Amino acid sequence: MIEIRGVSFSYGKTGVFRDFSLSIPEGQVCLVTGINGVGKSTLLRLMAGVLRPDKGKIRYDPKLGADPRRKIGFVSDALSLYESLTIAEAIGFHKSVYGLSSFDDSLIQHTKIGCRQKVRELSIGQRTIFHLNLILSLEPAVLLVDEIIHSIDAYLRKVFLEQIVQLLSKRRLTVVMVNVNFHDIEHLIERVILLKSGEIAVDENIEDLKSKVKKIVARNRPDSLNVLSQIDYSEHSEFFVYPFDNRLRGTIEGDIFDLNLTEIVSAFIGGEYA
Amino acid sequence: MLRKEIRDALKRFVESMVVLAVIPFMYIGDKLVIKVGLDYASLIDTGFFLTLVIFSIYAGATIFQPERKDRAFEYLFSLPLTRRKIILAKILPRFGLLLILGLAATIVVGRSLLADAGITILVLFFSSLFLSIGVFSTAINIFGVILMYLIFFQGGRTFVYLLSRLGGSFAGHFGPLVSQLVSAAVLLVPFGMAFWLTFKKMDARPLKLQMRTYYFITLPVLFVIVSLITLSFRSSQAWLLSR
Amino acid sequence: MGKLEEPRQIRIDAKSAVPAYEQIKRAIKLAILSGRWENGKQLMTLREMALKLMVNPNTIIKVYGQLENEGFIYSRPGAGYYVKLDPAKFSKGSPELFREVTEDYISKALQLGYSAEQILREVAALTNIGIPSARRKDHGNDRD
Repeated sequence: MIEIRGVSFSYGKTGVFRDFSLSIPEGQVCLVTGINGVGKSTLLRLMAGVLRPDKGKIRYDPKLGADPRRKIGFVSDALSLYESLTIAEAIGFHKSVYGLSSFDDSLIQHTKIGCRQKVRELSIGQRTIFHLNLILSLEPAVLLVDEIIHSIDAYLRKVFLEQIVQLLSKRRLTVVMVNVNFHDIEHLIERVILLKSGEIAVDENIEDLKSKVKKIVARNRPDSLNVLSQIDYSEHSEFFVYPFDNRLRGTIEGDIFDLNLTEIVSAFIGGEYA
Repeated sequence: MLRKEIRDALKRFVESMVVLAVIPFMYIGDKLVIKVGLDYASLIDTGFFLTLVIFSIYAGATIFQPERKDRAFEYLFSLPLTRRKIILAKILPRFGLLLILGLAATIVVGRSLLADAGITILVLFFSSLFLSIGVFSTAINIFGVILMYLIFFQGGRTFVYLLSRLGGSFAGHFGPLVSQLVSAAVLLVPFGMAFWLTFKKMDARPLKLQMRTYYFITLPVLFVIVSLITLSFRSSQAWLLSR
Repeated sequence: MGKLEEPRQIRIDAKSAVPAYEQIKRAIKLAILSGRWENGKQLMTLREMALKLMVNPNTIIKVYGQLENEGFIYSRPGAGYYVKLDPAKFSKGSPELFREVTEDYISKALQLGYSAEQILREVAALTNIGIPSARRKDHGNDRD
């Protein structure tokens, strides 16, 4: 659906990506994660067309039409909108640009937003939901969602995620999410991409990842396995290993634990901060 | 997009009209208090002229104001609009209003306005427009426009003089209008190119990081023109006086 | 046997390395084999199930697909999925599931630090008292 080929990008002197490539097939729900500042949001913006690569190309499935932005719903953490417009005006503007004949505002009904309120007067949660409503109204084929989930309350978060599940059930929707906290989206995700220093450090589907990353609680470091990071306690340490092989189960000294996605990603990231 | 830009252009227009609104008060004030003996008709003329000048500069300088003020560049570039559509939607309403205002002024003041100030107004508008992408405050933009105007003004004369040095007789055929046109073109074409090339490539990065193309084109051009004018200033002045 | 049990009963253990689809599958198999879900009862639609569990619909597609292949449910095109209680399934599916459930319990108990003996004693005590799972059918034949 989206193909990034040999892309280089920098903000002035700060390089973010160099010869970066990534391919996202249609219908995949993909998570992009990594430490703050590694370039996740930048990657999303490149996919949305809001940033242009200095070198390389980003190709879109022709299904998206001549201008793929028409079918891409992008919600960034900047929540960029024309702030001095009222809600009604913003909706009108949105409709005319995308050529929509109607606008389903059921999502905004969940919050108490008035039509005469200006966009800049909304709280972050309200603004996020408003943004979401806007992009859902264009029946996107691709959803690019930046870390906004954290700024809205649990109820609205659930509402938003339910919308995504609905869309996934109805159509071939491709989703790329940037997040660092996944407890409620974990089961939506199919593929996990971890960025490190502008490159892809890990690219696995979630089931494989779960079988390959384990926590080993032991006194001594397991020498046959690669340790991503560890936490030391007085009597023992926790070693986060990758890639784990089931065949080694008998030979490892210590207890082996499975991990959820948040713990897995923390293990990778923890290694970076060490 | 167009509708929004039309609304914005009208807003700027109304803001520029403040000048015209002042005139009745000046007149009344004069009649009652100062008693300098202001002529109402020439007040109107001046008022229109000033409004035209103010609007042409203001409309050009504020072309990206909605995006700057509302931090909406990222939103704008996420929309399925080509750069061409965007810039046309922005320029046409402003230019259209300028034409209408100019027409109104010509009707009220007389054809002389068009003849004397027509090109000047165009130069003010477009130089303000082309500068707006390269400078980051409206105040500096206005300052830049004034400079550009001076360059344009002096440039016309310098051009005619230089031609006379090169071409001899046909320099005489160059009426003021043509020299104005050529001077405007020499100044505005590179700036217009710099503007378009910069805007075409523009994305949601901080603006300051994207100005290399712009300065690369405009600064040398300015340098060359200003040098030419400066070097030939004395002789061109002398030549003009002798005619 | 009353109404269809809410899939809210199905809790996916995010920490488990057992994939989500497998966990859901087991839970449904359990519901069917234990008789909680009657023969012919309609399952939730793919979309409803995905929403209730907040999982990727593809996961549910996989679950229903595999359950259908394994003969636990059948689908009527355009009309949903239904429980299919095949008596043959009891002898085939039940011991597997039983072992899975038992392994799960035992591994957790062991992790907690209890010995095999303590576990056995606990099981004896609980089954004597009678755990409130009275609705299971009598699978006396295959409990070996």
